Amino acid sequence: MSKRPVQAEKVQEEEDVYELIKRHTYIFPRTRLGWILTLIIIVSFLMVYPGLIWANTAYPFIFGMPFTYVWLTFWVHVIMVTGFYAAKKLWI
Amino acid sequence: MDQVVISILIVVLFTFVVLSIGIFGWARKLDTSTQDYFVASRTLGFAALFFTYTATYHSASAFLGTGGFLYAHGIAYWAIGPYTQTIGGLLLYIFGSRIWLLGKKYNFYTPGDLLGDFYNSKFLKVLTGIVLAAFVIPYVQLQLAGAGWITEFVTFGAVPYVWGAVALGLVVLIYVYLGGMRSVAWTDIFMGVFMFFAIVAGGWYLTNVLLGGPTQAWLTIEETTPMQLVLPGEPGYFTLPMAFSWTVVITIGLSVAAPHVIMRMFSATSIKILKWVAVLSPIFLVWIYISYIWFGMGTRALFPGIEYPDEILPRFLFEYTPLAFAALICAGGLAAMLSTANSQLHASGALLTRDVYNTLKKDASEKQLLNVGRIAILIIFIFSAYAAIQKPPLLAMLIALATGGMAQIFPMLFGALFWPRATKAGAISGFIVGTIIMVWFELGNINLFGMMPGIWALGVNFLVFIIVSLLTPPQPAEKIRKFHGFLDSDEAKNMLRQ
Repeated sequence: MSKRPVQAEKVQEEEDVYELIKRHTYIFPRTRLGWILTLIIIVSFLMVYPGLIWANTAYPFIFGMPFTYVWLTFWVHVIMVTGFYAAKKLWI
Repeated sequence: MDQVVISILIVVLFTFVVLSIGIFGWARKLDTSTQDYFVASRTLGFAALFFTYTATYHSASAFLGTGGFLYAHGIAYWAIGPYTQTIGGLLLYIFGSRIWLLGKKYNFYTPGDLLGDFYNSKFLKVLTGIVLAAFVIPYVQLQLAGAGWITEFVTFGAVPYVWGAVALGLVVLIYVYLGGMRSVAWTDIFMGVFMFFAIVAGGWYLTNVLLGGPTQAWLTIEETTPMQLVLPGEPGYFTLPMAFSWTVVITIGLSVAAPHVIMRMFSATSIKILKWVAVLSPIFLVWIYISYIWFGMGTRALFPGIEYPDEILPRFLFEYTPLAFAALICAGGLAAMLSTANSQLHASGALLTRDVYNTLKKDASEKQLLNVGRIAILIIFIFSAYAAIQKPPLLAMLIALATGGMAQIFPMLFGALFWPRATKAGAISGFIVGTIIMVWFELGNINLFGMMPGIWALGVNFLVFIIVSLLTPPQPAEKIRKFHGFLDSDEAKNMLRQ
């Protein structure tokens, strides 16, 4: 067997690999709803880290609870509800 | 009846029920295969999967450590705990479906199975198996230590710490040894329900008895210890960077990289069940603490200077509530500990059997693998029980070490599921560098820029993983097709719809 076809095969295989990598790299959401829900979750997390820089205060008390507690409880429940909605509407 | 006798009876009754359910789980085995022993033949339904995930998540630190944490650091707990549990659920959702698909298609049931195959490396499989099993030991140790403390407390010293830790550990060992995943899942259903109601009821009752209800509790905290209502709390430890690093490391270490969690992803009977477990588990995991918050922080306001804050829940239960109620709630604490110990023991057995022994001895029979699995569980138990007898400090150090260590497989797991450009050299070098930094920083107590060691280890691990992967040739096309190609295929989509 000559050397040229073997080399060509190798080059072709390398091209295949990079094409496969491009096609199957799956880091970002693939649908509009996926993007929206992901953004809600990211924003909710950012409201705590670093949001607590601004929200790290006990006052005002809201419904008899300190502000930090209400702030933290609120955003974690936004994430929970978003996750719940994603499970209903999205596949992955 | 004598108070000590009532307490002992309650602990004995609880232990008897757990052991009976564990043996019942053993009796329900489908066959004597390793697949049934380690992943229950992939037949776990919603209740079993939900409670085995959530009950395992909440451990000794849930019952004892959380009280100590709230007492010492105040609201900082609420900035970490609920976020690790909720984001963890979402990670379980995102990673779990892919891991389940690959497990079902290629018969994987340990993290090493999946990683070793994608990166085409027996060395990596053995390495992750040994390292992950090693990081499980401090976790099991913590649970046995917690069980020893509680038993001694509940029985007013009639059953000493060492006896409690070893005896309850042996109960767990018996049913895990016999029944594997089925016994673990069945006992976790009982213990998960029991621990939820125990912690909620205990916290709620004490909040009302000691502090006059939630609203009054907040006012008392505001008047007496206002610093506990904001970060970093009075000791000043939980600054924003520190709280952030805890959140990230524990989320990854406990929710997606822990071997027992990955094994639960493999064990689900369908992807639909796994998905709902992922999104509903934060409700259980977060709400269990709502009443504990008022009690834990309020206790600091009313009784400052308690020497061992980890003990506040059992201590105040016995001082301020009827004895039978207090002992029953403490049995709920034992449930939290045993339900974690059983899963961790079981997972470590699987790691040492499948990832280490079976990789080195390819032609091992099913019977041999089962025996090795059981012996591995026994060995990990002996190490953990011995370490527990040394009375470790109950706080975060052990959790931080174990979760930070387990989190080190996260980058390579991410590569195997989402980033086909990942390579064997990148995975191995990242994992080794991350693990070394983790142990070095943790033992040297190095909190660079006010953040815990695990996040530095994970960050450097990720960096090394990406750089080395980009500098080395990609995995063969055949491997990428087998993993990422399959995950994007119609076959996978059809499996997801079933």
